[in-house]
Formats: sequence, structure tokens, C-alpha cells
Amino acid sequence: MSEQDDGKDVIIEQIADVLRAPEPTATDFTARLMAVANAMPPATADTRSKAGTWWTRRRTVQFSITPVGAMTIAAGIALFAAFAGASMRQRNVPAASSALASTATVAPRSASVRTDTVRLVRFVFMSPSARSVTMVGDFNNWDRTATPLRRMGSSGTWGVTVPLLPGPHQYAFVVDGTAWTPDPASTTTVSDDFGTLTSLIAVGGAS
Amino acid sequence: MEPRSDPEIIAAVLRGQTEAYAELVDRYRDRCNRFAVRFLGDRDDADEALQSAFLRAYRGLAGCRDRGRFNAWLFQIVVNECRSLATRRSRRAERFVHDDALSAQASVEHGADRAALVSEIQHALDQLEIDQRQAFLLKHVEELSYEEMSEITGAGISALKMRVQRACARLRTLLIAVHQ
Repeated sequence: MSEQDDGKDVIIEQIADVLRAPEPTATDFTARLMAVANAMPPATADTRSKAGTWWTRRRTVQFSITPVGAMTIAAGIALFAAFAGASMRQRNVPAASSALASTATVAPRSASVRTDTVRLVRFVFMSPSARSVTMVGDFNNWDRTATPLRRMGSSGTWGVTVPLLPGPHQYAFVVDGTAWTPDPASTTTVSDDFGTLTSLIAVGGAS
Repeated sequence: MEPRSDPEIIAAVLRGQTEAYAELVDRYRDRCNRFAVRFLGDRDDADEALQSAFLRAYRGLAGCRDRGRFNAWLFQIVVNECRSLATRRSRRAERFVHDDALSAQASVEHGADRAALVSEIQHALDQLEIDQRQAFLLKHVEELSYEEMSEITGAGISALKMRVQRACARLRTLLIAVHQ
């Protein structure tokens, strides 16, 4: 690529030189980021392989608890095939299906699945007059201090990114430490037994 | 003491030392921020894009196969995140035409000082199409090769050359017109 093709002339070089000036991040950038990262499941080396073997692991568990399988392995491969097939047909298939469904139901609570399915959700709240805005929700045990929003510029926009597991979540904003406010942008609001309004967000599943 | 290498830090994070990730963030955040601010033309948007990008990188750290090239892998995530935000923002701008920040930039007296010059150039940069702005910044500000740019953006080299060429032509027109 020649300089001519690049359009790399004096004007462009001057423009680029100005744009190459350092642009430091906010001083609290890393602290804010790590606060969110620490709230997420840990990044572990085997996360991806666990996700890839989700079904395999459950099948392995079921076969390992089948005593007939162990007996037939000891007896020989040919006998195993015939005996295990008959055994599955006679007794284990309904039980195995049931266990699989049950396991799938509780799977989102396990650490390995959480790591792979957590979603980063950006919440934005508009309030030019607020001095502070925080979020409360089922994801932070309704702690008014746990999830502060950060003011973005002078427009009165506040924002925060929150890691959420797939599924429905209730939340609200708290303005200036006291004013409980459901999300004005949310179309779904629910009321608890005491009449307190919260917003509802449905976080999607796997990416 | 010698600073730890990227692969050493990544290994520590994946062993469960979450706090070690802060070392990687501190190492690359300013360089990434420069691209994000120039590309998005707004420090708050850049902060948002970077937070999201670094968190995505953290979540996917185990998937960084070539740990010696973490920098390039991270930068690819940053570029994609900025692009996504710019696309969302352009949709938002269709609804909210009024933009105080842009108006303020437009009224800056040209040539008064370096800050005004930066504003003026940034304003011209903001006028470029997203593809052209991205290609221009990667080529002339980040000083990447076309091969590296292609790896990051997924676009072909000839398409990238065309985008850079058009971006340069447009910037020349915009900035020369301002000074006439």
C-alpha cells in the first residue's frame, strides 16, 4: 500500500498526530470494573469445557449409579451390551428421564452453568436533579448500597452494568437514598404484598 | 520487580485470583480508551463500552487461546463493543436530535488552542460513516497493518483500504472547508 493509496499526506498526518494523544480513563475505572467482576462467577480455566460437556456429564452420572452396568462390564463386553440394553428397557429408562429433567431444572444454580449463562445488563436512569441513584433487586438482596449508578456527563443520565442470570428479575431504583422508584422505561411493574412497586426484567438464556 | 507477563496474569486469574485481572485492566485501559473516545466521540459512552468490553474479556478469558496476544484479543473485543454502542447510539440519535455536546463543539472557535483543534477534528471524525471511522482510527491512530485490521474487523483488506481512502478524503474536505 503506497502512501498515496493510504491518503497519508500532511493533513492526514496532522490529524492522526492530534488523535494519537493519550486519553486516560477515569481514575476509578478499574475499581468500578473489578466491583462488577468480583460479583460475577469466577473466570476459571475449565469453564468452557464444562459448558461443552453438560449433557455428557449428566449421562455419565446416571450410568455410574447403575449397578447393572458395572456388573455387565465385569462380565464381558458382549454380555454387557445385551444385558444393559435389556436392563434399560425394563427398569431404568423412566427413572433416567426423570432424573435428567430434575437435574436440568436445578442446573442454573450450579457454578459451572452460572459462569456460562450470566448476562451483562446495562441499566440507565434519567434524573438531572438526583444526587445519587442506586439499584435494588433480587440480584443484590435488595441492598441499597450494593449497586450504585454512575452519573454520565451533565445530562442527568445515570448508568450501571449488572451481571444477571437468565430468568426474571425484580428491581427498582433508589434516588438520593430514599425515593424508591420502579423503572420508568419498563413496561412490566409488579406489586408486592405491601404495595411496593418494582419493575420486572426477563433476561434471556444462552448466547 | 519485573511486571508479570500477560500469560502469567491470565493463568493467575483462571486459578481463581480474580484481583489479578486488575493488572491487565490497568495495563491496557488507556490505549483502549483512546480508541473508544475517538471512535464514539464521547467519554461517557467510551467508559460504558470499555467497562462492557473488559467484563466480556474477563468472562471469556479461558477462551483466549493465544495468551501472549491477549492485547490483540482484548482490542478486538473493544472494537466490537464500540461498534455495537455506536450502532445503538445512531438509532437513539434518530429519536433525540438535540445534542448539547455537539452543539458546544460546533461553537468552539477554530484554531484557538489544541483543545479546540481536537474538538474540531473529533467533530469531523463523528461525521464519518461507522466503517470509515473505524478503519481510519485503526490505520492512522492505532497504526495497525491491514492484516491486523482485517483480523480485528473481519473485513477484507481491499475493503478496508477503500474505507481508509474514503475516510481520508472526507476528513480533508470537512477540515479544509472549516478553515476556508
